[in-house]
Amino acid sequence: MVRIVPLLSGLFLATCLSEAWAQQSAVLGEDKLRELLKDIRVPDQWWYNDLAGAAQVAEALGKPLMVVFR
Amino acid sequence: MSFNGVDLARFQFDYDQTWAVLFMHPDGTVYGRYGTRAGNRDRSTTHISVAGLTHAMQRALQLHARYPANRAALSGKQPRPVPVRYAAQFSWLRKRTQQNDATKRCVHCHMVGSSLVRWRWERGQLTERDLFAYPLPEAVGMKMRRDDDLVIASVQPGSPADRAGLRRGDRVVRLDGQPLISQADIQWILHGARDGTHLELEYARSGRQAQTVLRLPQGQWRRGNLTWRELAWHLRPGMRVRPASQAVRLRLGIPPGRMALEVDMVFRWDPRARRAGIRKGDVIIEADGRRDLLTEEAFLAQLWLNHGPGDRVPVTVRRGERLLQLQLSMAWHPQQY
Repeated sequence: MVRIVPLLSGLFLATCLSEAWAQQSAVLGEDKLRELLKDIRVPDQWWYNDLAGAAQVAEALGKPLMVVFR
Repeated sequence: MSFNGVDLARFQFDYDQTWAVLFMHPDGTVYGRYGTRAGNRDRSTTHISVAGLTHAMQRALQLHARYPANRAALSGKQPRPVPVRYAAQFSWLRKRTQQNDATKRCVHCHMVGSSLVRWRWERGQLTERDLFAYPLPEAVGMKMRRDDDLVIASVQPGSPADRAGLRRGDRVVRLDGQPLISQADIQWILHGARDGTHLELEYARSGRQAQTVLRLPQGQWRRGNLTWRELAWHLRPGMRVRPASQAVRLRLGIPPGRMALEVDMVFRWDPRARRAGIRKGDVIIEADGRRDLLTEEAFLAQLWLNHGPGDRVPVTVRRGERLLQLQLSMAWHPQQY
């Protein structure tokens, strides 16, 4: 499963998680990422389920994509 | 979308990873990579950290701010040709991708990495580059800092990095013309580099920029520790070996510099070693006519780079006072995922 989260001012995040692993604590989980990025204003926390959709939004906002595999 | 549907022609990185990131422009242009797995099973993350990721993110944003003026400098970071575009095109993964259970259906990243190795091996195309993929900077003598991984933590004496004049504390800025965001970018460049060539390297020392040349040797410079890679579990022929202790060598009368690999595990789930008659505690003293294979990596490379499916490889084993001549059959395991 790829989860793509627009998290931060500059980057979109797409996480490729196996559905089994998604239930486990990650080496670098979402909470940690949000903590890392807390000083960057995020308009909303929402999820994309396809890369093409995230790329469209990133393009519209002029932001790069960050695609995470674990 | 699961990894099953990930386009391998676009998403290329070290698939044996704990955590890997691709930074991209929405048009698909790759800015850089971050992450590896080298920390091994305890996940002590010797090569990745939140601080390291933060640096990579900041550098990716800097590259994004300069895009597309820097497009030419990024050309070396773009994907390379691949033989298979989607995981389901590997016949041994197809059945898995058709499972109803979502957990069983999921193709893990490392399965793709090992499948690429298997694909080449079955066609007689396997090379050192495939087997020792994405060499860490240590392969050329540079150990990088974990939390700021473009800064050199130590230089191996006599290594290519040492001969290039690099020192601890130097910050590598650009390699082979490519701007770097992390040591995963260095891995990417080393993975694609040809033996015997040289790579131009820009670095900063005490705030001043300098240039040097990193000369890559011929031969086996890519070889490093394979044990943290999931691939190793496919390459191990039903057993794990480790260099025999000095006590074992003395007991068996094996001189220094001669092969002595002790079987410390025979797998229940993989019959290859059991079928050959190998037992835990055996000491392999010769394999494929070689007595100079001193590490598990050297042993595995000898098997997989020199033999194809169905080949039988002779091994000589010491079991106490007995000397046994056995044969390992070369086959990938498991046949299906």
